[in-house]
Amino acid sequence: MHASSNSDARCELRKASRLNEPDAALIARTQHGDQQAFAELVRRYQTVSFRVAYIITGSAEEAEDAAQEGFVRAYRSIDRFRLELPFRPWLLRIVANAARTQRGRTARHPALPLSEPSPAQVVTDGSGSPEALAIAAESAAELMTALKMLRWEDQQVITLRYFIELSEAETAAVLGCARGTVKSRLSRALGRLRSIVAAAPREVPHA
Amino acid sequence: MRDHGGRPLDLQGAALEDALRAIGHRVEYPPVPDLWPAIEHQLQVEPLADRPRLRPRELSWPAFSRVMVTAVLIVLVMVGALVLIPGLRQAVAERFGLTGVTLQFWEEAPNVPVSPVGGALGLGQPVSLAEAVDAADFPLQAPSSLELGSPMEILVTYGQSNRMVSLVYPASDRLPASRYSGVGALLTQFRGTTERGLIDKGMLVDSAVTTTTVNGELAFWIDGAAHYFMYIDPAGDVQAVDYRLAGKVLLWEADGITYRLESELTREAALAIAESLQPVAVEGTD
Repeated sequence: MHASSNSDARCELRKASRLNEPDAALIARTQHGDQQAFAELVRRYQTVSFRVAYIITGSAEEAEDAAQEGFVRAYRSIDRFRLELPFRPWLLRIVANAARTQRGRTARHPALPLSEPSPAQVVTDGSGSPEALAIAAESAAELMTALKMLRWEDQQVITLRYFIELSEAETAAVLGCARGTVKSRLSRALGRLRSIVAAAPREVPHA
Repeated sequence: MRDHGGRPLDLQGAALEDALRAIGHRVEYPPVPDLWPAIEHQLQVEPLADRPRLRPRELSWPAFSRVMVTAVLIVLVMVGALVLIPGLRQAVAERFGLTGVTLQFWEEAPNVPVSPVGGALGLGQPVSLAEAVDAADFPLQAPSSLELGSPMEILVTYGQSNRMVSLVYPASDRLPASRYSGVGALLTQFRGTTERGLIDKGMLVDSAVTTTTVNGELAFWIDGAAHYFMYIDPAGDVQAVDYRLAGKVLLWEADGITYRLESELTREAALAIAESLQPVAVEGTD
């Protein structure tokens, strides 16, 4: 075998072995100067980071910038990260801060940048009870319309918890508030959503 | 909301949450870009661990020029040039991306008495934690680091355009007493504005100022000879509400809130405390 092939093979082997390493191991490697270990962390968390940034900025381009900036800031602070703590909430807090800074530069009025999926798309999702899927398929458009009528803070907490499915701790980290605040804010937001939906007129199809 | 039979749909309890999750699984997001190449490039272009925050979209200078300009500004600051060039002082803080704080450099210290330990620190009204949470016009944070323990005093100052909350921690085995105030640590936080500084920090010309990061956010580490902690009103006038002498200060901003940690700890210990900040939750508050 040629030397370059051996080198490529070793590189692929190292890359493959990092795929299954837990976060703490990758972070520890990063702290010791292994930038490729951080590259694996980026690949692992870029989807959730980008989507959180997208919810906050409302723009794909700004979300990309904010997520990139968030990862760079995380890298520069990685030396002080305590390995026994979960990485994702810490990272998402940094990304969310970068996204809010990005949105502040453009002075864009915050608004949910998502559209409702088609009913067919919702039904093909295997998760949830049949009743929930039926409700979701039937009411996707109305729920999204109602969601967008909530105030921005309520839209954010619902989107982060149920669409991106962040944990309570992660949602608190992104919003910069206590976990108890997330709970109470979410409860009130769902209540307001139910009220809006209940008050919305709906035509009943004729037989 | 009703189903095809005209019956109202049940959105109580978990049904609504399940419906939201089902919708959320199928909502379309923009395609996720491959972020690593751009990140890797940025880390190679700016390999220094501590550097002022530079926003490539806002500056058209190459990275080397930006670093040189920053270095020149620091040199000017160290020789007291900022005292002589009024417009430049605010430009320094803004250049480093901190609002609400103006750094002023003085050639010699005025004759200022040291605040007594346990006495009035000139930081406002003593309140309970719950009252401080209510009074703050921002989410109040507190260190979760074990070194500090619980604050022995909490104070609130009502400014013209903001509220300032100070947490005072006692000296202990793990927290050496300040040479000036006698307390172990003082954490002050307030909403920074883009108007002319809420707090001015006066420093002697041989004070050292370095930049670092707290949770990825730009921060200042101020060390060396004693400097001053002063209030300034939004009109830019210095208000001599109180004077304090401070030793080592970590100053940073996050989400529009400026934080100031004063102690005799090392920079690394101060950074660890700063990064241990957690929102304060009190029953019944939002």
